[in-house]
Amino acid sequence: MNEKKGMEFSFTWLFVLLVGSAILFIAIFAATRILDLGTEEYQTKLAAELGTILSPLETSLESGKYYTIKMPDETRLFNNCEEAGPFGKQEISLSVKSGLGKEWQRSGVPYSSSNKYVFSDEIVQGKNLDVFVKPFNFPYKIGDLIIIYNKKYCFVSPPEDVEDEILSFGLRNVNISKNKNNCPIDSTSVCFKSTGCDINVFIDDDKSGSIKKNKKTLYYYDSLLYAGIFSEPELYECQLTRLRKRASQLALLYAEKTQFSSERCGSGFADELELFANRLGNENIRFTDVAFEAEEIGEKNERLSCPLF
Amino acid sequence: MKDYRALSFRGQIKIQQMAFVLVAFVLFFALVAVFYFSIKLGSLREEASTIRHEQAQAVVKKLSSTAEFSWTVDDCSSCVDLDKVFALKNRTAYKGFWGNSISLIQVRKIYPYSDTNANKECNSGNYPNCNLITLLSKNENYTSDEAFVALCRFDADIGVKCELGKIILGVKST
Repeated sequence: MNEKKGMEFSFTWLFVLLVGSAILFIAIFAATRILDLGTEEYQTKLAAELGTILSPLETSLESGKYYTIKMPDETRLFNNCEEAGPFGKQEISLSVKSGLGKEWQRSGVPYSSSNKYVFSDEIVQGKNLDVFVKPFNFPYKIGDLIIIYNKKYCFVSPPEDVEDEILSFGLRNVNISKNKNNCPIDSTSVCFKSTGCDINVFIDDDKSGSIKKNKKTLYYYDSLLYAGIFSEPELYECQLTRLRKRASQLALLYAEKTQFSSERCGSGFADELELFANRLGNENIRFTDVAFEAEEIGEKNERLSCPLF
Repeated sequence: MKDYRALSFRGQIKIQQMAFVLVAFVLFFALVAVFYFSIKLGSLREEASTIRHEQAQAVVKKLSSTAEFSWTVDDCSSCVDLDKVFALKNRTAYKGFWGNSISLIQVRKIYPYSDTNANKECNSGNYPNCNLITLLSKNENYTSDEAFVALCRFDADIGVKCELGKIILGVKST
C-alpha cells in the first residue's frame, strides 16, 4: 500500500491552535486593560492630589500668590467649567504622557469643586505648571482666581501696577517689554497701550476695561484682567458666570447677616444688598455693568459702625 | 494493521487531558486575578481614603479664609465671622457647595467655656448664647479634622469680640 507523506494536522493540533490563540488573545487584552486601568487610576490620583494642592494656594490676606507645580511627567491638564447649578462646577482632569501604546491616554476621573475658579487654556501641557492666584473682591471677597499657564507671554508697556505685580511675584515665562518687536518670537504678545499684539488690552479706567483675544472681546474688572489674558475666552466667560452666581449668593448672605447685627449695630443695608444680589443673578449682566453699585456698597459698608465685610 | 479504535480512544483521552489542563490553567489565572484585584482594590480604597483625608486637612485649614467664613473687617487670616456662619446655616443654596465627600461641617465655640451652653446648637432663638453651629451633617460614616480659629462678631457693649473656637470637618470614609 502506498502511504502518503505529509504533515498530519490532527484535531488535537487544531484544538491547541484555537484554544491557545484564544487564551493568548484574552491574556493580551487583559494585560492592556490592566495597564490602561493603572494609568487611569494614576491620572485620577494625580488630579485629586492637584486639587488638594490648589487649596493651600488660595489667598487669605495676601494680594496674590505664585507657585510652580512640578508634575512627575509631561502632563496635559484639561480644564472644564460647568455653569449649571447654584455655583456651577470646576473640573480638572489629567493625562500623563505614556511611553507605551498611545502617547496620550484617556484622562482620568476629573477632580471636581464648586468653590474653585481655574483660568487657563482648555488644555495646558507641560511638566511644570505656573500657578498665579489672585483674590477677586466685588466689593467683598468672592473667591480666588487660579490662573494656570505654561506658555511664554510678553507684556508690552503694561500699566505700572501690573508691571510691579509681575516683577514682585516673579512670574516665570512673563516678559515685560517697551516694544512688541523686542518680545521673544515664541511668546504670546499682550499690548496695553497699543494694538497689533496677539492679545490687546483696552483700559477704560484704573479697574475696568476689555481684552481682545481670538477675535473675542472679554470684559474685565480688577484682578479679572489677569484671568482674561491667560484664559481661553469660553472658559473665562463660564468662570465669570460662576463668580457672578457666588457674588449674588454672598450678597444674600450679607443681607441675612444684617438681621443679626442690626440689633447690636443699628440698621445695615439689607435691601440694597438684596437688590444687588438680584442684579447679579441676571444672566446677561457683566461685572462691569454693576461695578458702580459694588463700589457704592463698599463705601457704605465702610461708613457703618459695624462693617459687614 | 493499525488499530484505529485504539488510536481514536487515545486521541480522545489526550483531548480530555488537554481540556482539563486548560480549564485548570484558566481557573488558576482567574484565581490569581481575583487575588490581585482584591489586593489592588484594598489598596485603592486606602489610597482614596488617604487622598480624601489630605483634602480635608487642606480644606479645613483654608475654610476660615473662604468668602463664606472669613472675618474681613480686620486683617486676620484665621478669624471666622460668626454672624456670617450663622446666616450661612439657613441658606439652602449652599447645601451642595462643599462637595460630595464632605459629611460634616461644624463650628464650635470652645473658650470661654460655658456649662450652660455646652453642645447647645445655635438657632434664631438662642444665638449668640450657644456654642455649636452645624452647617452640614450627613448621616454617613466619616473621619474628622479640626482647625482652631478665632470666632469674631460685633458685640453691642465691647465692639469686636473674638472667642476661641474650632472648625470640624468630616470626610466620608469608606
